[in-house]
Amino acid sequence: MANSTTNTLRNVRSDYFNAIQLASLQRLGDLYAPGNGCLPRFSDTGCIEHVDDVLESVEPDDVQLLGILLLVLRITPLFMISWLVTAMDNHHRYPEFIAGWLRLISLGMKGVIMSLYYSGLKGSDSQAQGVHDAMGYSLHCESD
Amino acid sequence: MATVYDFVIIGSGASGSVMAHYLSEAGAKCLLLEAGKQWDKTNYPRNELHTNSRLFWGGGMDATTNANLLFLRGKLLGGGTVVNQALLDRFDDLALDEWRDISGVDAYSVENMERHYDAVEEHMHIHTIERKEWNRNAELYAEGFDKLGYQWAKLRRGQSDCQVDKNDCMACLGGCRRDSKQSMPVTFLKKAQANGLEIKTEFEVSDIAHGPHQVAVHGQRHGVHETVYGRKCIVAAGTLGTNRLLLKSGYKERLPALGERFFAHPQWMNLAMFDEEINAHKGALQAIKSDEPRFREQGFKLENVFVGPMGVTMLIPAHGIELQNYMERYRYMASMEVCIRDVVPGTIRVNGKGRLQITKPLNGEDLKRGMAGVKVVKQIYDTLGAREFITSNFNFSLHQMGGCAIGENADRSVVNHNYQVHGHENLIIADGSIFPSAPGINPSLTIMANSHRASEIILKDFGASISALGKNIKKNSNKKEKARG
Repeated sequence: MANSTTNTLRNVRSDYFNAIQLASLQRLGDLYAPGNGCLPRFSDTGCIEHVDDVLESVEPDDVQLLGILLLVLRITPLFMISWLVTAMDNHHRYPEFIAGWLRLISLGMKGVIMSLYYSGLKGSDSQAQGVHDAMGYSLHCESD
Repeated sequence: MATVYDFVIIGSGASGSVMAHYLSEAGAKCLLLEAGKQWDKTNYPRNELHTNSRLFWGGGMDATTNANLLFLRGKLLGGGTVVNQALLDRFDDLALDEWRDISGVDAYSVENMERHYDAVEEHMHIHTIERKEWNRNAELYAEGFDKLGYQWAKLRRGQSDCQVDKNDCMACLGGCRRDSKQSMPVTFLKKAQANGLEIKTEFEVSDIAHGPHQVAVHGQRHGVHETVYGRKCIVAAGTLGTNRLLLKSGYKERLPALGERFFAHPQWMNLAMFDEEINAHKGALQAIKSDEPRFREQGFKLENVFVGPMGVTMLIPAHGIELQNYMERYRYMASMEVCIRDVVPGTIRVNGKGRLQITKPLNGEDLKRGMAGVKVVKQIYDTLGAREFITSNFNFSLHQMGGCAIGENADRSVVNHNYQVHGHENLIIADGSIFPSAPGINPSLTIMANSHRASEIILKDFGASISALGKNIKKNSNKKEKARG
């Protein structure tokens, strides 16, 4: 797993996140999309190469906050992150002052990761099957 | 010396483009400012990621301060009309009578608004989706309604030639690659440009300064400060954009109702897993709608709709293998959305940096309406034999309305019956921000109809009616053609 992470991050250039933040995002990506036999693992797709495309029109303050969160989560044990993500999924079960924060973090974290992964875009060296191909998803609309 | 336009129009969506058309047609010198870029059918983004990040404000991640409601609003030439579903419904008695009661504006009745609806509809191809165009998601919707005795109706959509037997309309949520969708760039805006409308895209307005004889609009374009001047300024930046500009420009002190009574038609999305392939993303994305009087009375409607893979992941409260197992079965999902006519108003503010700070409670009567709708959707999917039913715990808003309500009382509204901002007669607003309440009906066509009405009033103020000037223009162009001949 470490090799895979290193390999796929080698091609990533970001104007918004440094190497530590990108590694953290990759780790979170694998937590959200670990691969299930049909759909590939997040890190195998290399979709993180497109991270700047997701962030290009997000408010700079929000990007900065997400960057800080990624730094914190880089040194947070995985079991604690799993707990946090489960809490985000179930934010409605918490008092509103906690639920609001869980939703905001989820919007930033899950939003970025899912945008990358389900875009169907791959990294330049990725050998993984495309996510859209694996889902059997395609859209067609063209001029005659 | 700087050019002074007759009208500077901020925003190119359903209001700005319609007004640009009628005013330009009448011979007025108009400049339209748009914060987003110009796109067309040859270069619209090809995937959900780039659609969100390049065509929507905030990368499609705008939200209330506690993220209980997410907003999608277009940021490109043509505004929301390029990225919406082009559903064109007229308001009913319930919506317009309530508007008249709240605002005191007599124009709001089905009878009085009819000719404004007629006028704008003449400029668009409006297609009623027929049964032969339905996908399986629509068939299930109708089947469930029929089994339980609920009424549904065919949808009216602005489209010219979709050919859904071989094209998938979900693609056009990122701009229509066939120019079939009747967005502003292929309808009103095109005509306005032919009549001399000037357009500046990527112009971010920062401040609007109102004066007795003209309005100065300050902003930035490609990093360079610019100021443009108009005898009148039409603020048509969409509900959130219009409120933000007026709040940033300091009008709240003189307009206490500014940013109040914000409505959003909050939505609860529901997914149902079936054993058969549904392929809700294929063909006509939306075909039918609820037309059940009991639902209207209870304050909700049910939408026959679906979303792309990235959107679906935000709707399912899961992660990891559990989420991937759901997504592997994306093509087996049916979907129905509850959209409520909300009555608990929110507020719009800006912080010190000029960022929107929106609050919108989802409790009390609104929560009751949403849950009543979800209960019906579950009942429908149970009847149809769905294997599993999921209701999203994230709420979305595609229709933002209010904050600059129309009305006669300056303490409780922002624009008067002539669409002029109270005490600032050279500022005009006719976009969704003037809605005094939530109609519970798709607002796009009524924004256009309001903008037609506003154009008529403005042109009368300028000494001519639209129809008379329209005739003059035709006469002039005929003369020119004869001269050329």
